[in-house]
Amino acid sequence: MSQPTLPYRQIATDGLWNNNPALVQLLGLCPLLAVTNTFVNALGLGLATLLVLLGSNLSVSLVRHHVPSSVRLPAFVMIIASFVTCAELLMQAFTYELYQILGIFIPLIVTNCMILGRADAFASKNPPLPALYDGLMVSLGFGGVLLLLGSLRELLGQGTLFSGMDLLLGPLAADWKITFFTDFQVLIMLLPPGAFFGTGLLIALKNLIDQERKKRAQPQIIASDQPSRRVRISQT
Amino acid sequence: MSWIQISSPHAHNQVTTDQVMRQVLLACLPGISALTWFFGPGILINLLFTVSTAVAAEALVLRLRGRSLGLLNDYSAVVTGVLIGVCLPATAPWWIAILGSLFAILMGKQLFGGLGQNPFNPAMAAYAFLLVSFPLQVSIWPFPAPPFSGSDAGWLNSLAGADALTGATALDAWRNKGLLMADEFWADTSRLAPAMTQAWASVALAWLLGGLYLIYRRLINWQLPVAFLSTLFIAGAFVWGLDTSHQAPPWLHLAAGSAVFAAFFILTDPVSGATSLKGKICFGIGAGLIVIAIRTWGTYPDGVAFSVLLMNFAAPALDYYTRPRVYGQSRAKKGLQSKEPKA
Repeated sequence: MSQPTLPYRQIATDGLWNNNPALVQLLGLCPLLAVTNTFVNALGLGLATLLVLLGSNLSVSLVRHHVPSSVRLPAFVMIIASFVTCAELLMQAFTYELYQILGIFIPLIVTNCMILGRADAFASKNPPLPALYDGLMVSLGFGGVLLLLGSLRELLGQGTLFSGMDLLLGPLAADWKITFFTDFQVLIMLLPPGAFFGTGLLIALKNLIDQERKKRAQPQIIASDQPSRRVRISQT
Repeated sequence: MSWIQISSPHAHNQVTTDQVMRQVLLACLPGISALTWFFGPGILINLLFTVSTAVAAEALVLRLRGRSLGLLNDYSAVVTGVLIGVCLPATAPWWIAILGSLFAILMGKQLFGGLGQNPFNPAMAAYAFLLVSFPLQVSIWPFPAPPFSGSDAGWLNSLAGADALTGATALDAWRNKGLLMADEFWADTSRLAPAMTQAWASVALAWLLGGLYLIYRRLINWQLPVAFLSTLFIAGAFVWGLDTSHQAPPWLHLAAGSAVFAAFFILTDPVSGATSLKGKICFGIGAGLIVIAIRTWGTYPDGVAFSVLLMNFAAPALDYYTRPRVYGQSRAKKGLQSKEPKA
């Protein structure tokens, strides 16, 4: 058994933060922008992506020694497509209303570059266990952004949170809906522009946090009161 | 230092941004007075909110970006605030004005790097944001009740907000007329009161007065407003000619809505518009065609904000294709030319 190319700890930090597919790589933006208008839609899409990514990373890693590199991309796409079909059929069977709301964006997970990217860049070079772990971390990073954007847009656009959770979690979750405002709805947040505004602001927030962390990590340069008297430093 | 990009001639007298902006504010006075006369002091209260919020937001961002607060003296935030304020109905709630100004300064202007860097007109971006987000609050205007007119509505009553009498603006009424023939529409004064049309036409004339002042002071050139307004009229007449019983007559396109205001005060924005003269004319024609298309086939009654934003997208391309000939150089030749220098 070969060793993973990255330590587990770094797989986790890369997938969740440093190399976050939605905020840094900007992959999978089509579903990210299109279906995050409510929390439940974001959760549904996040779970479907999680399922597909786990399955595809595991299978790609298992067959990595048997696929010639010249045909690897079509082979990976076939694997991904079969898992997307599984996810689609599962959603059709158990959460039919949510399946109808998400519509075309469930089959379109096949074209999500993030999944193919993980298959080619990581799973095809690593043993199954790290590949599975990477799939989990990357899809958690993606799903986290989906949920954040979904709750932001639902809160501003509808004034609610967790509305319609029963579509995904059954009748138990029907009364989870929390209403914050009833007469103040920024309609634009539910529409496509809101997705762009929200994503842009989240990316800016991530960069801001990174900058602050870098600033903290650097040792403080103590400015001396007396400026250097030497004018010419380069010549001797 | 002037941050406004002005096309040639470059040898001009020392005009600073704040002088330009103060002249623009002065030119807004007739329009603001006319709006206040017809629609009540709510307009002035909106302006108070938009201008103060715009200046406060600008100061906040300048502070965050580590810039000198002295940049506030260029009056550009004040002008943005005024341009948003005059677009809002007198009965609009106070938070509409504040949200609009915040959006204009933060998202429309400063996110792109401040004065001179914004690809879109901040005031129109904010108005489009408000129109899409809060369509109801932004499109209901009070019934015009100028003082001394003996109107039932009463001038000061417009402050009472939703309790004031509201009336459909001409474009709104026209949008909602359904299958009614034009003759029936004009006869039915409950749909569109003649006072409303007259009020809007007077406001348009007041904006025209301010615009002429700007042209007189050479702050804007006349070609762009003329291109825009004549396109509105000609394209409007063309659409009207297709079906005179159902389409709005061309004069309505000029007198109603924000056409004249936009022609002189919005399209002529030197930052987000085209720079070359030919480009400006194309800008005006394009904006006019889009306005007519939205008013005729769109779902929104007035389309000036959207058309300005769409043409802002096109402005860099317009400038690229309409580069003026450099003085002393020969006219560009069409077709393939050999690049070798002459012996």
